[in-house]
Amino acid sequence: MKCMQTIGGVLAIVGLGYLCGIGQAFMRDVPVILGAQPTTTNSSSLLEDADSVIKDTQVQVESDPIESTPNTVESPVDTDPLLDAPVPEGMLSLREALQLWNDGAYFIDSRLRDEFDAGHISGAAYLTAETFFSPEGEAEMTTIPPDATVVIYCIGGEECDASKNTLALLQQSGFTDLRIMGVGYDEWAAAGLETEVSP
Amino acid sequence: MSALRWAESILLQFPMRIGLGGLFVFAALKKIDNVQAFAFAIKGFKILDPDKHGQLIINAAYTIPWVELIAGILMIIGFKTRAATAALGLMLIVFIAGLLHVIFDPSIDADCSCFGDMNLVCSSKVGWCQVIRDVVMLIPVVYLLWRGGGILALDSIFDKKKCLQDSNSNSNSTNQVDDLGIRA
Repeated sequence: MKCMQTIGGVLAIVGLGYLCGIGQAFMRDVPVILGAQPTTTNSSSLLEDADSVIKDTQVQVESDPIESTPNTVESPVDTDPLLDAPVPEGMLSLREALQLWNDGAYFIDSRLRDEFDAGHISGAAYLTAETFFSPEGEAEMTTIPPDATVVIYCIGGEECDASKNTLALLQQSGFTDLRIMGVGYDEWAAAGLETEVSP
Repeated sequence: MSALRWAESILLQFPMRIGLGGLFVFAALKKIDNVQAFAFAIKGFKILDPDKHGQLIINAAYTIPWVELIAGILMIIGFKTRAATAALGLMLIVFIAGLLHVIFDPSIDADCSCFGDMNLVCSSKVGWCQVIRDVVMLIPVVYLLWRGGGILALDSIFDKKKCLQDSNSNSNSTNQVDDLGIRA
């Protein structure tokens, strides 16, 4: 008898939790997403993984070659094999990211807070899914024009979801030119490129 | 015996209820505050395919924190303590299974997001620390399931009232039987 009462109570708690969750979903202004939204209007899928958008980005990178500008970083790094290290399909190589950095693109670090504090790409802002809706995240976003080129990085590699998540949220917020650096901060630092630590 | 019950309630059941319930309420509020990050965290565990079960992940991101909050509050006030404890225990078991899934699959690099953007005892990266923490949290769950919320819980007040009502109705029926017996 007591056992049945407990099971009934558990079901009631779960049911009430579900109803509260539905209520919260209705009251929320921005829908919860799991990946970047489709950029084409004829797509039938509501949820699309960020990979597809990253592929679009690759097309954009290839069709819109970045104008070569005087490199502000010392030339010896140009020969560093790390610059052309293979990256997951659709993501920026270190060389492409460096060129964008020299062109004044905005860089966003989406690793853990303590990793960011210990060292990050010079001028990079800290923005992750956790801080996105916080005052800190909103303050960071106001400094970036929606049409600016934004490069997002984390620890690098295919499994680094943090960059994809931040990209999806930025895209939802109206940012249009978003790219992901295929290598992580460690590779950037190992190539001798400019870094800084949080004060 | 009564003194022992009081001692157990004050020294064990009450601190366990406040500690465990408070922890879950805190964790729930952090998640409710940023459902988006929690949805990403569930996706990051790679238990469900986001392409096929995206809506399920989103529903879980909305529901789990509220279940934690409701069960946590019930545990703190000691109302329906066993049901609340069972709900939290089941969630802990599911969390442990999820953590083990990530630990044993080296291709998954997931953040726990157990307490939102805060770290409690363990770092945010999924590892054995979180498993041990959750197993430790299962100890008071098992104890409270076995012994209930104790004397200081609301349950005990309602149980006492129920007992009084039962005894009153029993005594009334006994009187009626006696009356009938006398009449017979």
